Amino acid sequence: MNQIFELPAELSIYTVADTHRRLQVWLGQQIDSAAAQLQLLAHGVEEIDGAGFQLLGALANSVAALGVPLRVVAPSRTFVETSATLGCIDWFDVTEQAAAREVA
Amino acid sequence: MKRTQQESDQSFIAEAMPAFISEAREQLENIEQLLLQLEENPQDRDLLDALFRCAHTVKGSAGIFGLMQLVEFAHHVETLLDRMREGHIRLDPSLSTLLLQCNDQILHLVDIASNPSLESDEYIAERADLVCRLLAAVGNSQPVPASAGQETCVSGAAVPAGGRWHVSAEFGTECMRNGMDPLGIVRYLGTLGEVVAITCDRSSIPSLAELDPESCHLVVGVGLVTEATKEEIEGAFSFVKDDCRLRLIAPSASLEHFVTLLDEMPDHPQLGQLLVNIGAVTQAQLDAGLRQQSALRAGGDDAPRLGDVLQVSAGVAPEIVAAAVSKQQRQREAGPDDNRCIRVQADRLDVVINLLGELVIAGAGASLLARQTRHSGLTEASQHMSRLIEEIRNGTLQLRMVPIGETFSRFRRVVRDTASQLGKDVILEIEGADTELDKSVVEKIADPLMHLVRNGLDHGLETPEQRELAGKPRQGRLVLSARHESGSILIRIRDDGRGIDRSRVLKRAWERGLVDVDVTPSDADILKLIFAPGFSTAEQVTNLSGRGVGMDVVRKNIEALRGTVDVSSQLGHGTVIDIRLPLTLAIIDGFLVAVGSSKFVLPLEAVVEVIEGRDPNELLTMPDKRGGFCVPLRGELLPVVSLRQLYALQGEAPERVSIVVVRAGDRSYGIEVDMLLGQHQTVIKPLGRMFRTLRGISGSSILGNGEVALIFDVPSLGLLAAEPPRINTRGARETAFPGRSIHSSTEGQSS
Repeated sequence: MNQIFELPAELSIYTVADTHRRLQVWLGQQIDSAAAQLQLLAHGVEEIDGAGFQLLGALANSVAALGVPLRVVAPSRTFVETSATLGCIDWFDVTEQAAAREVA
Repeated sequence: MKRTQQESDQSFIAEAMPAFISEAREQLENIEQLLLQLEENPQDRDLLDALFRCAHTVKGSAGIFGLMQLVEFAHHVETLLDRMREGHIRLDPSLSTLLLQCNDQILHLVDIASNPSLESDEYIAERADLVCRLLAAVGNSQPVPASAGQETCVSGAAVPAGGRWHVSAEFGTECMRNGMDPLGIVRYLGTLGEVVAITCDRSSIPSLAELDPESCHLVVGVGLVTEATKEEIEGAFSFVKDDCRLRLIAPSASLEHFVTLLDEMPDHPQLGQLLVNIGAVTQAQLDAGLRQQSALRAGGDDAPRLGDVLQVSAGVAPEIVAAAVSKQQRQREAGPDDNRCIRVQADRLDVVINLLGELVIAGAGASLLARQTRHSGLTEASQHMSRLIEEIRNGTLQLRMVPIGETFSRFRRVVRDTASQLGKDVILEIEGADTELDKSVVEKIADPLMHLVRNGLDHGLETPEQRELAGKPRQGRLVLSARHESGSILIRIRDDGRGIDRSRVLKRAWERGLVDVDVTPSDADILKLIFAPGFSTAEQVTNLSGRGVGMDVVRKNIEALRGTVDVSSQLGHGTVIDIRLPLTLAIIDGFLVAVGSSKFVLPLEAVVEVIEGRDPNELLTMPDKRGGFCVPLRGELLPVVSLRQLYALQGEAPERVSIVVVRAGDRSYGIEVDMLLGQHQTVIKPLGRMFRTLRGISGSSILGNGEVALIFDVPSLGLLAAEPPRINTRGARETAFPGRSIHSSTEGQSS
């Protein structure tokens, strides 16, 4: 089963604590359900800063430890440009298409 | 009722505060040791980095607990250390003194975190003064002229503008909380020229579960082609300069700069990422190199190492690859050590060791009962259990063994400060720092050692001028050493000072009435007088020692640990003080013997051999002039002490006796006993109050059948045996405790 986590419009120092909590819960659920692939829906990301990418980097580290692929789906222009600016575009497998429609 | 977030935070802080205080004290101890080591090796970059890390850790932890006073003060210290790391300031004795005083002040701030009443106007004033001195030290700093091995590309002379720079930024944890965004800084860098490469090291970020999302862990490497000057590039980081490790490599940077940078970078398990982080290769070059390596492996070839591939494909210098491989290797070797230690509260360990003592006694009781049943299966099972208990005992006691080096290291500061206060130049040398002994012994020996060290500095070692006049080097030596010796630990404090003047000691002893005026004791006994209560030979009582109240307390404290203290001295050449202590205060391997109905335990490690089944009349035919007895043993005469006579033990002597040969320090002697009962795991219990003054006995133990056995203190029994008896007639010899025969009891148990 694939599950998608929809990233919020704002992923900045002001919102990372809340998103961190939600991501932890989501990841826990994926581990329980032995998900084969994890996806982040990034089409709605309007604002993201260093703290936001750091949070996604931490998620990528945890997912890598599980041996499950993590894919960023339908990233917004902001997401793509900003991740290139900070040099973290290669942290994720980026695609335009989501593999499943269950969105958390 | 649901707790509010604030209540929850306060509860967390209250619970975690003791751990913070304990860890902060450890860090501050480390800082002190590192400063003292750095004083001796001011060029050692690793020491300076370790020093910075310790200070940074204390500051960071204090911030979590909201100890802002500490954070602010530590910040000034950290700034100075950072300037030192940048090469702008070099450590000299006055700066070292300032940093040591700052460390004391931080320790005080840690103390007031748990007890605010310790704060005083005096400390506040001192703190303000220290801050002014720190600011002055930082403000006055001028770039230090670069010398071989010290130059870094960041702090060197002016760098010409133009070309490709490598910018590496390791953002500090508070950076984002302070409103700074690494992304914004990178964007600003882009306005200075063209960002031709950028990497953000994901491995520096913890996992999701471990992440504090508002703390910053980002490490960014930027390849920047620009005409901007070094100062302009640094300017991009001006708002985070106190919370960011910035490294710049100029376009003209040499190979050494990359190697230096590699050394300074945070550890990384992957070679490729290390090289990307220092800008030696770009991410694209690394990816291409990895693809090439992977293709070769798939093609069945022996896969070349990534470093070799990158040398060919990306033109990385072999020296840089070698340095990266070496760093990776060091990291692998050091890595597992971090996980080998766990922190356990000492009192929990004490509970386990007390229970272990009870288990040993109960095990001995069960073993005895099993033997009495004469049931072979039960006896075998009981023996197996005894062996397991012994293994558990050894393993558990080992948990409480700690190296004495940590205690010794604390004296570096004492020696430094005390010698400087006295106008003396003294070097402290430490030998045998790895020697291990029971933690409880280590804790209790620290104070007596401190007094002896201070005493040596104050009275033993001379000023440089006095030493020069005496034909000695201006710098005095104080050596603290430790080693294991016959089941004990020998701690030696040796100095090359003026030695002890026996005539002055004797004169003072006569004046104080410690020795009758017409009596001149032996040289060794004169030296022992320095441990007599109220004795002092100091012409001038100083605030360090010389009040004559310490040395007798030192001796009492050492004896309370079942230890002994001996002094030897050569006038004009120095003094040696030997402290012998048991390795543990809990459980020992003992050798059980019986005399009449009394049982005694000898520490097994002190036993050299036994001579069994001798006719007492044969043994006792050679009384020496002290009233003791000797037996011939391999061509030499072995002095023997008779417990029956020494302690006036009741009961008839058997037809045949045995002699246990024991070693105490550098001499051996024999102990005459009726029966040898064999090896015995001995749980040490303190002596009852009535018997604490008993000489030659250090403790008691409960045997499996409930009987009490007394444990010998082998060195002091040897000394007792060597003393001439007051009445030199066999059979009427004075006992070790006049008017009483032995009737043992343990604490809380009368018999």
